Amino acid sequence: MKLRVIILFVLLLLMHTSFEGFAQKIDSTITIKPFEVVENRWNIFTAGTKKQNLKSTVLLDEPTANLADLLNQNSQVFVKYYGMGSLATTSFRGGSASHTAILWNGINISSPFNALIDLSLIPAGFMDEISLNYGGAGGLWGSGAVGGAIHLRDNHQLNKGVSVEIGTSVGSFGSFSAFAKAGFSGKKSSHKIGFLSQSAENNFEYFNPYSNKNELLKNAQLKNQAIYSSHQFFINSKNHFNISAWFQNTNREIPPTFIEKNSKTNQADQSIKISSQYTKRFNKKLGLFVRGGYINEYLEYNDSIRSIYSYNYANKAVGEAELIFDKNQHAFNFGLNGAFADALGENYLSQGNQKNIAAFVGYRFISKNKKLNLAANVRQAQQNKKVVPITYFFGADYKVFDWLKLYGNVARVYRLPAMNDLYWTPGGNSNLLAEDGFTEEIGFSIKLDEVFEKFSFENKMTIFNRNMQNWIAWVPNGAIWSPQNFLEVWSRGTETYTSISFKSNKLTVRLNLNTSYVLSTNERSNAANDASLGKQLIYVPLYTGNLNAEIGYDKFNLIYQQQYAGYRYTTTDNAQFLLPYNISNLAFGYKVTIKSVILNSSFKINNLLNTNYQMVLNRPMPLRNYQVSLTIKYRKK
Amino acid sequence: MKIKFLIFVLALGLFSACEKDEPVYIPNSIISELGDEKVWVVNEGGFQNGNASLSIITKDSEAIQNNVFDQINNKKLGDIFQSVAFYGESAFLVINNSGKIEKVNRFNLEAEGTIEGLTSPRYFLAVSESKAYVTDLFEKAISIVNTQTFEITGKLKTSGWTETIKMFQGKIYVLNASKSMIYTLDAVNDVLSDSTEIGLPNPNSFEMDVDGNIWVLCGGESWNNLNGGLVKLDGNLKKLATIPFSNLSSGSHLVKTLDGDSLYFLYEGLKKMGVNQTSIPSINYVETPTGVNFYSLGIQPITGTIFLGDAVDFVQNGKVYQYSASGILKNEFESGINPGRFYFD
Repeated sequence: MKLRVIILFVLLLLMHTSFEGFAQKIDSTITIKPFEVVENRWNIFTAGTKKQNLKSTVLLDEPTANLADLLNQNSQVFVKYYGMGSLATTSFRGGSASHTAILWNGINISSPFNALIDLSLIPAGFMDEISLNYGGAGGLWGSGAVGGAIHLRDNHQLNKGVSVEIGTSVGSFGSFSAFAKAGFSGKKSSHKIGFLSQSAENNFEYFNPYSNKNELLKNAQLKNQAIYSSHQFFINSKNHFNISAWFQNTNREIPPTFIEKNSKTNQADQSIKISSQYTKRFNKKLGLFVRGGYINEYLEYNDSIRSIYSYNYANKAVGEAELIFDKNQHAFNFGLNGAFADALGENYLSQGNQKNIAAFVGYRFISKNKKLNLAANVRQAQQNKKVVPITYFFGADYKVFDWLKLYGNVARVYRLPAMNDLYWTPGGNSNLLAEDGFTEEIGFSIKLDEVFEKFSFENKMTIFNRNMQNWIAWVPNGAIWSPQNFLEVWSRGTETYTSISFKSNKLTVRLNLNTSYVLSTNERSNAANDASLGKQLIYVPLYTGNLNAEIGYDKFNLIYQQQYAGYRYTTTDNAQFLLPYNISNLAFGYKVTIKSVILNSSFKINNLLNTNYQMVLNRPMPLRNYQVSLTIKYRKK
Repeated sequence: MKIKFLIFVLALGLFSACEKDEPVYIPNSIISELGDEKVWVVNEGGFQNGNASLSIITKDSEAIQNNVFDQINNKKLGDIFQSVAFYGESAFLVINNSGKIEKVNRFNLEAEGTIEGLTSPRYFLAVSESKAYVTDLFEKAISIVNTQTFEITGKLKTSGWTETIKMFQGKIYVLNASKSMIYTLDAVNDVLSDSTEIGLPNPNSFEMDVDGNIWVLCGGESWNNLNGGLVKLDGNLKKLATIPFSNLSSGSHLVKTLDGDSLYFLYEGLKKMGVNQTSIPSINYVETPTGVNFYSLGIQPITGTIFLGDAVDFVQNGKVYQYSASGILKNEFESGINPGRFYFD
């Protein structure tokens, strides 16, 4: 009996498809040769930056998880949730939600409306690769790459045969998800399709400090469907063509806050996204990439209590051509990017439109002994014929030993005003300039594989600094609010990543720890009585951290997760704040393989300690809740 | 060597974030004697932040006491404090986005009951011991409430957003902000009548002057390129004069002096205007301190003391400036968030 208990508690397993797969993912950024992946700038011109291959650091594999959940639990990015199943946005290194560039197969997919993206609506399971580029790299990724950039990618390979995966998960508060994915890869082409359907009532009970009693959350239903399709055609060894399409339809009710008696608000989001790339490889050294993207968004908001009904449309078309030359020590690139967007609807009196164009060049140098890797990128952008300050990125990696790497970079970054900033009626300000600033960072990474044979250790630490000016803030201008290039924000801090693992025949023990310390303060004010000067920005925690620990034995595994966020201020003078929270989850998994079929099941307890907390003021978060998942994978060559 | 370094790095990684981040918490002062002739400062708070609060400046103007309602009644006031109305020994606190009205004792501020279930209440007018009207932003109706049983007893249908409601010489007047109309309300039969188009957009406040004329202040609609201004009507709502603002800046907070021969309002600073003047004064009555945008105005009827609120960036505690009737700065106070209105016992 005792032995069984010990086995149950101590032994676990890896939930990744295979350990080989895991190792391969980690190495992919090092070993992949030029022109073999979809987006080459990432591999060639990013020396000196801190990168994270998110999927390889995820210990708990949840195929229906959204990007917000993955980032929240496995990265140093702070995710702000407006509630269960509600809007989720990022803050990278103390930046605003629009200071994260999100690129999907190289196409910036942030909303033309507000330059941000709801991470809770990104089905992470459909993305083969999710990579994070911490820090500003405006020279590389353009507008919005201020705090960091998130890259979502499809990865196609030939001759992999047929794979089918179906799964479902059922959880507390009426949550249900089902997905199906199928892939076929032959001699000339590779195809993937996926379908995801989610629904949840989110009708959980919470304590309301205003009424001093427990209440049931109402009007919080979520319905979300996504269809995903990605294809690569290998025309011949020198010409490839990729195209991916992603359709999403979401209907959400917006629940009342603590202070509202009830809510009859709902929001519908529909989006169509298409990304494509034509790759032409002239010879071993020279390649041409032509990318095209299209985004269509429809947003409908209906609050029947306040009689507010609004709908708005936006279209964005992106075109990019990039030439890359890569020979031994030297690599160069040159590219042009154009993004054209328009918005139409109730809040745009006249149709708003944006014409953003940019030219970029890059250079990479690797020293003869391969210890030094340098990158330089320069980008010149303009919006509606208004020139944005020239942005650049200079970075360097230096391998002191095989196990120790030093890195550092300096960059100038920018964020273009979004359609809402420019044209929202009332208040939009078409004279806005781009937000711009300077970032610097230095860090080191240590990677010790198989120390004492079975142990591995990894540690990364970064110190960063960023000074932003012309930060757009909506300020009252008489009776209406209008955006101004107003704030100056100074962000600085440290981030650490530590990973320890032990692997023997059947036993695996892993531990990942992320911490970050971010001071992000307002440095400018026009107002006489402004007590926000020098104070921390609202909703940017000084301290955040998360921990993932796994014990796996043979077919079983047990994963413990913990997240911490320190005080978050809710007023700019820092007089009001939300208390820190410390949330833990526990998951138990079991996996069996029968010939070509892999059966994966898990049981997860969220908010194990039943902690009452708020991420956004007055919006309740759920107490302890449960989730059961089952996935079946089939693969045949 | 390698191992030592490794341990060092690990320790650094794990413990680099141990500095205390606990905010300095300043507890609210204990409520001292509130006394009579208080100044009630309505701190709206931030939308959906639930941090509306009531501040009281005591008679001698020596001190402000913040968060008074919460402390006395041990509960939170709610979300977006819009206005206060007095009737007899009671005061009614209109909490807009909480859809409720808190009835409190006018002297010790103890809660006496709550009228709930309103949509988006703005202003309150009691006409008897038990009957009152509540205007509303979204409801498209004026609610009739019973202030003894705390029930909503009826609805008076309107078109759009009803704003300020006041009684002058036994007659009730109501503004419709979205339609830019002014009505009279018959409290016996509960009907609206005598509607008049004001002519300028966004009426937000009105007063009756010494001659029995009604002055309506309209904020304007800068986003539609429409100026605000003052409109003068007689007691029967016949339009007498329109004095538009010269630019798109917004105007608000029309208040009259006790004798009713002058008007104060906010329009690019504090303006004071005699009721016989025919144009908007070009100079401010008090100099606006550099970097301040006055957000609210109140005049103590008897002493003529002027209170001006500064909401700073609308996401932090505000500031209240107190000037003597002749315009000399007397005091500055830190209020709650978004000091939007002042009321006087």
